[in-house]
Amino acid sequence: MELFDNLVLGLQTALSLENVFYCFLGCLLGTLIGVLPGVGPVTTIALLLPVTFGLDPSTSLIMLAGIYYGAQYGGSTTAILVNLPGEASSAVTAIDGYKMAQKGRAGSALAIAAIGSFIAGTVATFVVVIFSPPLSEMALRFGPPEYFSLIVLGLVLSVTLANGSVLKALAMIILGLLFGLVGADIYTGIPRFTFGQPSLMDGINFVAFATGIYGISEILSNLEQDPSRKTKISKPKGLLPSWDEMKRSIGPIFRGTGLGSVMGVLPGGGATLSSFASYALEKKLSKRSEEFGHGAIEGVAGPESANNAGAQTSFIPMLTLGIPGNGVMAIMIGALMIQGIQPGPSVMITNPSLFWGLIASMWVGNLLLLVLNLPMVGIWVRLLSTPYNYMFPAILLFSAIGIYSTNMNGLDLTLLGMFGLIGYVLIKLDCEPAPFLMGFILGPLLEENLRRAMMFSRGNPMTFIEKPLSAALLAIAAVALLMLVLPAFRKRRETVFVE
Amino acid sequence: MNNDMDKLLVVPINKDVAAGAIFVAFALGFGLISTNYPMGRLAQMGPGYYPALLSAILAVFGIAIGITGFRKGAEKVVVVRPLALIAVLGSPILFAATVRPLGFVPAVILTSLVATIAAPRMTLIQRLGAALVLTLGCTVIFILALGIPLPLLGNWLTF
Repeated sequence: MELFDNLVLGLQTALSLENVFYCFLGCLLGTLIGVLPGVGPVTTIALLLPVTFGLDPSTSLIMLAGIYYGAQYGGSTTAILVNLPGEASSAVTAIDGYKMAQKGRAGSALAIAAIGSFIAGTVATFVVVIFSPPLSEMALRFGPPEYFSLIVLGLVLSVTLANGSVLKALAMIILGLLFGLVGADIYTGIPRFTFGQPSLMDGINFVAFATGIYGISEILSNLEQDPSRKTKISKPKGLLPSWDEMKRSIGPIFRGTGLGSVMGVLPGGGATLSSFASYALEKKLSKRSEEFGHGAIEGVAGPESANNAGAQTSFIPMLTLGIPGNGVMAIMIGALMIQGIQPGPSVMITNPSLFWGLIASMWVGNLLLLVLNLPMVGIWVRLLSTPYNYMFPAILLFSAIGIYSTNMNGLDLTLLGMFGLIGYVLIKLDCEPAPFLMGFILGPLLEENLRRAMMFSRGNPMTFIEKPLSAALLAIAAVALLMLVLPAFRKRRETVFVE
Repeated sequence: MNNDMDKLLVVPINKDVAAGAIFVAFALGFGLISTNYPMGRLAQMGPGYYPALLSAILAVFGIAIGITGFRKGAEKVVVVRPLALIAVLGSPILFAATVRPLGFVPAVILTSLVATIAAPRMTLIQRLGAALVLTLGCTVIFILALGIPLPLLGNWLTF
């Protein structure tokens, strides 16, 4: 009954008045920012990260999780109402969701998305509860070589997230690893790449980095066109889906939940792959596959459930191994470290109330979203119609003030601009930011484990292959890399992303 | 003037060659700096070992990416206008530079006005309105609600 005790501890933490309030606030703010066209969950979390710094670790993580769910739901709202998905995982929703909106059924699409997400969230919470303890127990037995190989695997799999050239994604990882090294060397304390700036001794401010490559570069992309243009919005009429629509959605919701729960755990998986896979599956299974792409409710129900389940189970590798499976989790790890908590298998033992509280708050967050979003659709619609030329100065100022307030250091804002520029230029050159961020987060950890493994083995690189677990992890990484490069598989991946 | 703003700024860029060049440039930068740090050896890596190794790998990737680009040629790419670029990247820096001497409120007003330069078709009234609303909002959220310890008016403006 240990599981039960853990759940009770989690619920006690998550249901404290303070935590429910911040979870609610997180969902609200997340939706508020996430609903803005072109702003995805990673950007939203990066922008709102400074708001959570003053809170204690559990509360701040619970609020961040709330922001994440809110941002995802906000992204779906935008995808359905204006066909402008903020990120890849809601791009699938836009296909049929927007068609439904054009036919005046936006209300049903939004409601089914919320209901599906809630069901998926509930199931996925249990998946996290069941699978986290054994995984972190296993990870506690990892030595430096195993950890090194695990990080390599995580990094390689993050390439699958990037659409486009594998070479570019790999180069982005390495560049991220290099930027992650800025600061004092862990063993000798020698400052590296700090250009004599004392504030760089602790490394580049993570929030400035993430907000720069996601938030600022996003603003720049949006400003390529005249920002005073207006977006067309299909106003939803009536929110309740019909009985028939409900019946058609049940199957996709549960299949999507299952698919998402499994795929979310895989490094490099998470929300995006889950929603693509679910759409493909529903299209194949449906007797009305010709309706897909013209407003089939199954095409909203399945992927929306899948991406929410995937979003949730992607917490598993982050919480148990300290390895982020995607960009959002990379930010979560950064947030944990800012709170002074070293992410990894020991979090469950040293901070049980944080660990279980966060998991329980996932369910609370999903419930809050359901009651929050449906009644507030009108407000989101009005927000969506605000022209971008009023939006971007606000986003810019909020992130600038937020980042400045974390350290009261002007250099961070110069870094914000610098990484905004680097991110923008690289994205223009088809180099995706997700592997860059992953590399940045994992850079120091990779170096530490590499150096320790080399010390223990007296400089014998074979140690990575001689240890069976490490060898297995590296083998998986090698196979994954091979599959990415092989032409047959590459074509399939391209078609998945083009769909 | 206004009609010019509707047009998109399109530049021909060979994406792969440019990306490759950027990666090689970063590899050179990081690589050269890391030679200043003690290298150590494989069993006892110094602070310079790992960054030098990464820089070498990055250089190889960069060259490989650049080579694939030579077979493809340039594409037309829509880019952001230089003025908008400067306004967006510069406004956080402006905020950092002014928040101490001028204080929070003037810094926010200035920063939001500079940020709106990136939006060419706003009237002066719209710009001032946006700055006013943003200043009010930011002061309420950051100073009053979150309690960030920044002076509303800075040293230069208080006597």
